[in-house]
Amino acid sequence: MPVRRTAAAIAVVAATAALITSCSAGKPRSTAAEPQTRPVANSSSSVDKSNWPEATPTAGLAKGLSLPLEAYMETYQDTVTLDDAERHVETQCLADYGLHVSFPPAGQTPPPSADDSNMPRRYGITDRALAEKYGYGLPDAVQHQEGTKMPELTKDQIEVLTGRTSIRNSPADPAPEKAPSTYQGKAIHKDGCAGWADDQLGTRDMDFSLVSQLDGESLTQSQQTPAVQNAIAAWSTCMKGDGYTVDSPYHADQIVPHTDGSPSKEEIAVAVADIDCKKSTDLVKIWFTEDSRIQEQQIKDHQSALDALRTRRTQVVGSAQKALKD
Amino acid sequence: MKHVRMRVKASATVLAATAALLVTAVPAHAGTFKVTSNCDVPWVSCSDEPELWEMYNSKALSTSGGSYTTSWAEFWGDVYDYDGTSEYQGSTLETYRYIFNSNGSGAAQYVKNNAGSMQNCSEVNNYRVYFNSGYGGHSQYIPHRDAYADCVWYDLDSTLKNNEASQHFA
Repeated sequence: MPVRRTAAAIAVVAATAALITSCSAGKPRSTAAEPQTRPVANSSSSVDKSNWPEATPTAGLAKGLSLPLEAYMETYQDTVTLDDAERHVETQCLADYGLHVSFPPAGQTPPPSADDSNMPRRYGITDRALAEKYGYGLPDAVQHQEGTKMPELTKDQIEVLTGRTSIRNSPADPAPEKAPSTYQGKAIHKDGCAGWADDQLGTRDMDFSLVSQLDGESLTQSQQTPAVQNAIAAWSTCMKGDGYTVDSPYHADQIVPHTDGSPSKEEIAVAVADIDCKKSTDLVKIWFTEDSRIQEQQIKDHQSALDALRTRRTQVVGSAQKALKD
Repeated sequence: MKHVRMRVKASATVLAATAALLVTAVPAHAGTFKVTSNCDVPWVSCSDEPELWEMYNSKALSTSGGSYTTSWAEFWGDVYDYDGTSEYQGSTLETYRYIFNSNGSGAAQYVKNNAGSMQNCSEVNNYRVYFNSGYGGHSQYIPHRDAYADCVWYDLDSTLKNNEASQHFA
């Protein structure tokens, strides 16, 4: 299957290939006259956003549906902003030491879901137009992605960026040693420029796991309600009428083996039947209603903790947006 | 097609004999193989070393005295189904099933719906782990680590613990 690269990806590869050499060459930071690579992390406009997940589905049976807990979740847009700001601040910090690194922009490998709730696929597939083309799979551009590459760093860059002598890439690697305390007479920050960027942005030790935990619980609890159990049974009967024996939407993708590459006609037929049966039984609306009801109660039960998380998220994203303007 | 990436060998390490535990493709029967990384599948193209470690145990139960007591599998990129993957090579359907390595608890067991925690060792790639195959159901976010820090190690939440089925870049 041919690998497709977007123009943005090619541009990033070219930028990082022109790479990352220290332009200090033993001198302290020079003033503006020296040509610098424009920090790529700043230009989120270079990233192809057409593949980004929508905040709320705009097509199919989940169109317009948004669960209560989503108001407290970190979104894909948030994480891109935070990653871009982190790299932007690191770039500025490194430049203070006369070191120049081009970090890649964030936002190149979007998931199919804007947040933990995964609305387009939360109750299984819901978009008939996608199913007709891809069965249970995703469009090519959001499958088999290449990932983002960090540039290779010199020893100096690693020490100033991390406050350590090496970067740990695997749990099997030994813990890195601490870097010397200065680089060319200038003190290295604790945890380097990366740690300093976290402190500037307020992003150390962020933990949104409560929201995620609650969102998972509401899905499994709502599935067990009589209303949803009845709807699932009706869906299963509908699928039987199409010739498919399956108990739950979560098992429908296993009826026909999904192989890498283009989906088979059989897989597409199942996927389309799956969605049509969801429509005729109103399964998505019924499940969403129970899911929402449970989440409303969860929010009441955890209001102050959730509010604190939402405040933190607003603060850090605000800091990040401000930093990106500098 | 794309060549298979070799996994990074562990250097002098607190982990006992990790190098001895790299399990290459083991034929179960004709046309079906077991691997401990999706990067070992011939048609899967990993542009980097596998960076998302799927641990059999939760974090608290994974180590003892500085060594891993759990088994794990290593993934990279978008994985439609932790059960494994199939593709026709000519007229033969070749199937690769994902299993944990042989380090400790959970040795050589199938990965899907069987993990307690995830470690993200990437400096740049965030991941999502999903309840159902084909990126369905609730999902949990596993961010990349900071440049100065260890791999991000999260327990799977109670919905996904032993109920995890797919992963995707995020």
